[in-house]
Amino acid sequence: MMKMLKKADILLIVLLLLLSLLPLRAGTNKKPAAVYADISVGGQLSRRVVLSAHQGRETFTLQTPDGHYNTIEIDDDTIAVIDADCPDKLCIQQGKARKAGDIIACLPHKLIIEVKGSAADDTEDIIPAR
Amino acid sequence: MNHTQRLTYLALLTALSLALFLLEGLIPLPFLAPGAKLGLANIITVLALYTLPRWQDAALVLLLRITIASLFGGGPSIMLYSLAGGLLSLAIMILLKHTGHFSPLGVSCAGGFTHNLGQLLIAVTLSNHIGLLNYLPILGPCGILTGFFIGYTVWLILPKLPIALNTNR
Repeated sequence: MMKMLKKADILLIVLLLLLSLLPLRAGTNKKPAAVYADISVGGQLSRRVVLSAHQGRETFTLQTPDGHYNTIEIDDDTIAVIDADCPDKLCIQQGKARKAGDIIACLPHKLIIEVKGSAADDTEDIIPAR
Repeated sequence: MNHTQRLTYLALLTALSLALFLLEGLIPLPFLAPGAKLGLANIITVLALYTLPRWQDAALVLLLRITIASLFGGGPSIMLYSLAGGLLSLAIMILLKHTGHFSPLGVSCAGGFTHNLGQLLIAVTLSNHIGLLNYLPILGPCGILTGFFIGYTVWLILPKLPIALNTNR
């Protein structure tokens, strides 16, 4: 019977784990001055909502070009998808986003909500080589 | 393996992978990240890679499974994600296996990781949003973990197969 794990396998697994963590490289421990959410459909920015210092609850519905919809709720400083007619509803299950770097995706509708921080310490460019 | 044996074995593997694909749909899983799943059908992909004499045959089983599974449910957009993940992961596994340095477990871990990476890359391409790569710290380790269990399963199965299928180790 062959060996279950060779030394090369363990090295490979460690390397893959390190690769997974690559996008965290830029660490976001500094608190950004203002937090806002960019909502884009198919790569096009469709709406920008300021989350920091937002009070109360606000709901709106976005229509995608092919006739589908996502209903988005801003509750104080959080943003969430609360209703959608996509097949998997994963966008709803992703819950509330609040911090810069949080992201909610509805891939069937090509809708992305990306929470970003602005001012002094911009957390926008977490990934190098855009 | 003669022509009839090969045909029968390919059909058997394809049927098994489809059965595993449907079985997985019945298992409720906690939500971790979009696209994270067990990938039970990939047990067959790894098994095919280690029991079929030609890697082209393993690719054939994979392509048949993805095509037929998409007809069961999912549609063209899901199929594109499956193809991106499945083909990238198979290509990497073929290469790693060919080096001869890795056991089926290591090969399968890399397969699980690159499967999720492939899906993430196609999501970035389709949505034009590089920020989606922020999911890699979750999806990457998920892929390694599922790949590990898949590799372990294959490692248990291989010695129990008839000797005729074990020429390719």
